[in-house]
Amino acid sequence: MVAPLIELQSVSKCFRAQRTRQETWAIRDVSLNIGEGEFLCLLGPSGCGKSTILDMLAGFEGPTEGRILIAGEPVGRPGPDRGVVFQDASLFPWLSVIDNVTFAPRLSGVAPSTYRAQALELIEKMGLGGFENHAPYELSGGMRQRVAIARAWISNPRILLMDEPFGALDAQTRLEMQETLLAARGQAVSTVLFVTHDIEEALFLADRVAVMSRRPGRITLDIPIPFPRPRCYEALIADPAFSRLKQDIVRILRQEIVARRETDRA
Amino acid sequence: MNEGEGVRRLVLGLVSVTSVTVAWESAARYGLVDPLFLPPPTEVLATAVDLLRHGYRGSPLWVHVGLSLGRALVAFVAAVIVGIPLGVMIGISPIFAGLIDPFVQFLRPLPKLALIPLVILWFGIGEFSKVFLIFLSASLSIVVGAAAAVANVRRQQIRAGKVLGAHGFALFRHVMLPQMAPELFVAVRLSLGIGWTTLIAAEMIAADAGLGWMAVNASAYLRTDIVMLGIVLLGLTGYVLDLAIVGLQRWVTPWAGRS
Amino acid sequence: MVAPDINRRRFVTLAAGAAALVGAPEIGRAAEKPAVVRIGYLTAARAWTIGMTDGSFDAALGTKVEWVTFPAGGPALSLLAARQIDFAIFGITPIAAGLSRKLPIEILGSPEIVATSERLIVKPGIAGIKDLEGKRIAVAPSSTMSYALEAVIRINNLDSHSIKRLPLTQPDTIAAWRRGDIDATYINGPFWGELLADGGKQLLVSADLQPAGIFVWNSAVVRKDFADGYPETVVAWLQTVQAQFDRYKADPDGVSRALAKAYGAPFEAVRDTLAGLHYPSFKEQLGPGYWGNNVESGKDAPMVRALDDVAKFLADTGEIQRDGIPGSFAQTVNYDLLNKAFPA
Repeated sequence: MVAPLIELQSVSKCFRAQRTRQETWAIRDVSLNIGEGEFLCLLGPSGCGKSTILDMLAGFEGPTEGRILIAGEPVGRPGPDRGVVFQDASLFPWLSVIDNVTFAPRLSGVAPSTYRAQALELIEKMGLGGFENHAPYELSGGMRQRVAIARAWISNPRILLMDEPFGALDAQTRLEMQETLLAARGQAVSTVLFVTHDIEEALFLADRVAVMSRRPGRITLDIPIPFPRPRCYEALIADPAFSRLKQDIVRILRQEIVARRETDRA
Repeated sequence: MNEGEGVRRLVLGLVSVTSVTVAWESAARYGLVDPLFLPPPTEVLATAVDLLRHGYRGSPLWVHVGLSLGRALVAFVAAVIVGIPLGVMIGISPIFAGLIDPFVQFLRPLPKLALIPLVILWFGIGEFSKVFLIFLSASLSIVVGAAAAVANVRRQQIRAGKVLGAHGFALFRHVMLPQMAPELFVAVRLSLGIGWTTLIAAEMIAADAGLGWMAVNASAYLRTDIVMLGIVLLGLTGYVLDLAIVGLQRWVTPWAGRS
Repeated sequence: MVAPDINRRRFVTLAAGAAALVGAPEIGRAAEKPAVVRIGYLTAARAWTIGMTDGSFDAALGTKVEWVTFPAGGPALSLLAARQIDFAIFGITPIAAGLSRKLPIEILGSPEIVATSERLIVKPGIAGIKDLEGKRIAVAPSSTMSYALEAVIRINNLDSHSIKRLPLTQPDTIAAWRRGDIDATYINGPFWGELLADGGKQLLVSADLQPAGIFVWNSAVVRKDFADGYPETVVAWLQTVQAQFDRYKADPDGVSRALAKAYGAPFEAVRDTLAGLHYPSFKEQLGPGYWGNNVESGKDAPMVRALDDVAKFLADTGEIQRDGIPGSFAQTVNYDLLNKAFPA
C-alpha cells in the first residue's frame, strides 16, 4: 500500500488565552490520512476545530501533541505548494485581478512570460474573463472567491486547503462556485481538504467525508462518498442514496449534540 | 462619495460660509460687536489688499505665506521619512517598542512652546530650529500612527501572503506595507494638522516673517485685522494642504475604505 | 391660548435680567464704588507693586482688589480690550499702538521713566556704536527696547539695512548669546546682569538717548468707561500709586528686599532693576517738563511729543496704520483726574 500524502497521527492542539492563561483544547487525538488526489470534506459544527487542522496543514500553527506529515515530511513554513483559500477571499485590495492571481509566481522571480498565459487561461476558466484589470472592490463576493481560488491554483499546488470558502455566499452563487471548482479540478487533479459545515456541500464535492465532534474536536465518522464523477447536482439530490447519507450524518451530528448536553448536565 | 453628493456638500459648504460671513459683517456693521474684537470681513479684505500691495513688516504677503508653507513642507517630508520607518519598527518589534515608546509618549503631548529655549540652545535661532520644532511634533504623531497601522494589519492578509510565498522582507514590502498605506496616509494627514499648529510656536523663534509670526506680532499691537487675516490664511493654507494629502491618498490608495 | 403670552412675558423678563446683568456695573452708578478693582501689572518686580504685597490698595480703595499679571505690553492691550483689567502700568510702545487702534483707554502720567534699566549690551569685539553695522542684534518684540534700538540706529545714522534685528524674548536672547548666534542685544534688567557677567560690554543705557529727545517710559492707564464711571476710585488709585513710589524712594533697599521675597527673585537683581528707573512724582509730571497741565498746554509737552514720535515710528515700521494715530496724544491724557488727585 502507498503511504498517504497527508498523515495526522494522534494530533492535539491546545490554545492558551493570552490574558487569563486558560487552556482550551481545540482538537484532541485526531488521526486522519488523506491520499494523493483525494477530495476530503471535513464536516462539523462551528468551533469544532476544523479550521485548526487546516491551519496546521498550511503551516500557520504547529500541533501541541502528535505529528503531522506531508509526503512523509513534517509540515514546513507556509508556501505556494499548499494553496489556501480562506472564507473571506483575502485578496490584496491594492492589486488588480491579474496581479492578485500572479502574486506567487511574481514573487518567485520567474519571467512573466512563463505564467501570464496560464494566468489568463485560469481567469477565463474561473469565469472572470474581461475582469483581469478590475480592482477587487469592483467585484462581487463570488467573483472575489473565484480570484482567490485562481490565485491559489496558479502555482499548481500539490494540496489545496479550503476553509469554508463558499460559506459567505448566497445559495445560487454557492452552487455555481461548487460546480466551477469541480470542473476546474477535473483537469488538474490535486489533493483537496475542504472544510465546511454544510452537509449537502460536502456530499456534492467530496470523495470522502470526515465528521468532527464539538470541541475538543474528534473524528466521529469517516465515510467514502460513492457517487461517480462528473456529478450533477440535480441528479444527485434526486438520488435516494444521497438522502440516506445525509440522514445518517444528520443523526450522528444530533447524537453528538444530545450526548454533549448530557455530559454538560452531569 | 458619488458626484451628486459631492456637489451637494459643496453647495452646503458655500451656503454656510456665505451666511457666516454675512452675519459676521452685519454684526460689526450694526455695532453688535466691537470691531476691535472682531474686525468685519470687509476690513480684513482691505487689510489683505493693503498687505498685498505694501507687504507687512518689510516682506510681501506671499513671502509670509510661502515661508510658512516652506517651513512646514520641509518639516513634513522629514517627518514622513523618519517617522514612518520608526513607527513601523515600533509596531513590528516589541523590544524596539519598549526601548523607544517611553520617549515618544513623553514628548508627544508636550507643548512645543516649552522646548523653544532648549531648541535655541541646541540648534540656534536659524531656520533649522523652526523646521525642527514642526518636524518634532509632526514626526511623533506619524510614529504613533504608523505603529498603530502595523498593529491593524489583518492576520488573514499576512497568512494569505505567507501561503503565497512571501516571507520576511518580501512579506513586509508586498503585503504589510500596502495594507498599511491607507492608515499611514491618515497618520500623515493628522500630523499635518498638528504640525501646522506648531507653526505658531516655531515662528516665535527669532522670526521676522511667516504667517504664524505675522499673527502673533500683530496681536502685540492690537492689529486684530491682521491677526484675523493671519488666521484666515493659516486656516486656508492648512485646508489646501489637507486637500492635497487627501487627493494624494485617493490617487495612491484608491482601494482605501472600499474593501 | 395662554401659553404664548406667558412665554413672551418670560422672555421679556429674561431679556431685562440679562441687560441688567451686563449693564449694571457700568451704567448710572457714577457716585458709587465698583465691587472690584482689577489692576494689571508686569510679571517683573516694580516698585509700586509693594502695595500689592501688603494690601495697601485694598485699604485705600475700600473695595476688593484683584491683581492680574501680564508678561508684556501686548497681552496687556488684549486684557484692557477684553475689559479684564481696569488699571495697568506698562510701556509706551504698546500704549501708542493701542491708542492708535482706538482702544478706549486714558493715560494717567508717566510714573516710571527708563534710565538704566534697559541697556544695549554687546559682545567684547564691538568697540563702538558704528560697529553695530552688519551685526545681529536681538530685541524683545514689540517692546520699548525695540523702539530704543531703532532710535539708536536713527540718531547715529547707522546703515539700517545692514543690521539684522532678531525678535527674541529675554530668556531666548540669553540662550542665543551663549551659542554666539547674536552680536548684541537691547535688553532690560535683570537679564543684562547675566550677559555682563558672561563678558558682555555695555554700550549705552536708555537715559543716554534723552538729550536727543528720545524718552522711554511706562505709563499708567485706565479704561475710559471705568474712569467715567468711578472717578473717585481713579483719584484714590493714583494717590495710592504715588504713595508706593514715595515708600520706595524713602527706603529703596527695604522695598527691594520685600519685593524680592514676594516675587521669588534675588535681592540684588530687584534692587538694580528698580534703581534703573526714574520716578518723577505725578505733581512734577503735570509740569511743562513732562505732560503739561491740560490738553491745551499738553500739546507741545515733551512726553506728548515723544508719544507721537513712538506712534510714527510704529507706523514707519508698518506695525500700525498712520491714519489711526490721534491728532494729539494730549487728548488721550485724563488731566482732570490727575489734577484732582494732585492739586497744585
